[in-house]
Amino acid sequence: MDIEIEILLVEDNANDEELAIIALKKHNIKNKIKIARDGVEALEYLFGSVDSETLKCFGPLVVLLDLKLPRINGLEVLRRIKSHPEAKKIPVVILTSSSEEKDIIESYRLGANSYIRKPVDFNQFTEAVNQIGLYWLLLNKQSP
Amino acid sequence: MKKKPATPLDAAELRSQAEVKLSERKKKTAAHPATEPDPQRLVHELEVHQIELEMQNEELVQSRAQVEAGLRQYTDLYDFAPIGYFTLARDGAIHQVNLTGVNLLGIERNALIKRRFGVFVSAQSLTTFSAFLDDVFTSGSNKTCEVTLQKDGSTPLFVYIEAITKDGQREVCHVVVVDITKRKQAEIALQESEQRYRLITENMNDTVWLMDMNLRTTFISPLVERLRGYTLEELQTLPLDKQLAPASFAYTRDKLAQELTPERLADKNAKISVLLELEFYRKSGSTLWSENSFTVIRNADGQPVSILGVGRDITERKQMEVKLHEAHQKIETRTKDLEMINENLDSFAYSVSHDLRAPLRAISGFAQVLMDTQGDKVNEEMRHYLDRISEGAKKMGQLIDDLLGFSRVTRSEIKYEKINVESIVNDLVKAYREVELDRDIEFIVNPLGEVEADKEMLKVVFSNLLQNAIKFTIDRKKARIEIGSEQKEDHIQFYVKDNGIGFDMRYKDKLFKAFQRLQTDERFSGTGIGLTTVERIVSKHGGNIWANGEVDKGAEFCFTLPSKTHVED
Repeated sequence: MDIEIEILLVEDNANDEELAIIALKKHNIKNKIKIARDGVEALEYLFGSVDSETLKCFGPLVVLLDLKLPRINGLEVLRRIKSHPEAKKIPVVILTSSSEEKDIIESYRLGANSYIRKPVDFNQFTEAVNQIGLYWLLLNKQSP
Repeated sequence: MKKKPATPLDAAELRSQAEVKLSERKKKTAAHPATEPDPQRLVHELEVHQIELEMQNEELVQSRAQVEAGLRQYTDLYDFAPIGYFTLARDGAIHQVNLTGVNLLGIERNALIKRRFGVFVSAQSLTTFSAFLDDVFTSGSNKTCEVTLQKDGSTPLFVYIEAITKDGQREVCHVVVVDITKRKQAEIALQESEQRYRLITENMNDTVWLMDMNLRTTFISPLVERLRGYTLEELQTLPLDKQLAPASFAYTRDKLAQELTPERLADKNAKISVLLELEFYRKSGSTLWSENSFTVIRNADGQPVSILGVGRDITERKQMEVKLHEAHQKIETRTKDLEMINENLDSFAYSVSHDLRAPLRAISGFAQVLMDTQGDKVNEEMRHYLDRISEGAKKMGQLIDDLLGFSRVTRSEIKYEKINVESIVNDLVKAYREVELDRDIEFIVNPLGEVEADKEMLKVVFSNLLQNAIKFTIDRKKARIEIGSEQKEDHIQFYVKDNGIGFDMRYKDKLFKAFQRLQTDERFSGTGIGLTTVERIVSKHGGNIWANGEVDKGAEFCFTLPSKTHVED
């Protein structure tokens, strides 16, 4: 159990990944970040394997999840997390380029805790990431 | 005694006649006295004579009884015969009539004698009767006719009359009159029903035909001939498989086999009726569609004797059905195509939204990072270029967003709901006031009423128009933006008016075209998609949009929305 990890960033775009990390660090969010490059990696990290029903890692305090991912997409990862009795307690923030209504509706239906559209402007982006950090890592008390 | 034997004498008359004869005889004897007769012999002779007389008398009584019986019989026969007997003179006067005849005419016998028979003949039959009577007397042979008799106050009587003159003499004729009213009424009823039936079959739009139990045509109504070109004779010899298109024949054969089972045919109470839509051949070779009912007709004993077919020409309907079906298929294919195109558009838009923005984020992001982290090494010129890079990326991001918005508006269906327009506009105004803190803008929101429209789309319309107004009043010290409405007969008209830089009416047609921009000034930068989106939304709702303006004197954008009801209360 990797209890150190506090943020699971599921992001396939290396640029976005780097910008997200910069943004997080810029606001002194120094929590340990684990990167998953697609849905499969995210599920393997959380459950040990794609098909496993047992939560392996209780680590992340928050999951930042992109929707458009190779192999298993973000909505499926979200569904798996939120339909698991233990894993569903982990807050999941959708961080995506899509502002399609159906994505937003579907994300909230599946149990997403927030939905943030990645702004093109880096300053807005860091602002958004900052707020996630503040809310989910510092203010929000995780359910025991 | 050669007296009329037909006239029997009664006893008293006979006696008196005998007395007369005896006295005559005595006178003769007195005048010519003969030799004195032997008294003994005389007595004997008298006795014999007496016996002779007694015998003769007995004979007479007997023959009289016979005659009387004959007369009774004759009277019976004559008077009570089931038909009327008349003896008529040349002029038609009634000489004799039996009781049945009396009853036929309904007047006492005494009153009938000497009256003319013609008096009782109805006006329309009188000519016939006169000609008949003439014919009887001139030809001397047996003649017949049928006339109606008119009795006072009752329904006319149809009678059959047969007459013949007496042998040798042509003074009177013997006439038989038979009441045939019942038969006539039946005949008339039959004629009427036949005529009715003929009228129906000739004039109705349905075809009627009969087939025997071997499915051979035995009768057709005139319409069958008109519609199919075959005569009855031709159809009689034309087997059913030559009359019907192959599929229809097979269908009929199967259906009839199913319905006309021996058990059901044998069941006298079974009503067998089949409904079939069939394609018949015309003689010309073309086909016609007919909707038919086949019903098994049974005779009085319940035996099935024929099949009655009643059909209606549904060729037109069938053709329409085929056309409709084709149209449906076309629409279905088209809909599928459109659904696929829409799906493609959706996934295209999704890709655009997701993938095109990612590199822009990298451009803007890393330019920013460069400025933030290498601040001490970045000089003014470098900062300027980095700003340009960031700005360019941001603008591209805006363009993508606007295009996506436009495509979303084009693709999505209107979700009608009742909208309080004022509250939408007030929300927007409040938001813009907060953003444009450094500007002096007077927003005037007049009553806007209620409208039925898609709420999200209507928000897009007003936010675009308000943003435009805010943008094009940027160089005004005091900007004035007024929003209002006017209720018209079947629509509501909205306007957004500003005191900004306006536009040249010569270019008003270009206002709503995508990527067409009327301003070159950097301060009024835009993507050129906003008004196109607005126009698309308004026309999707069935409204119109237009603009009035003058350079440097402000602009007014007007649009209408129909006030028809889509939403039930």
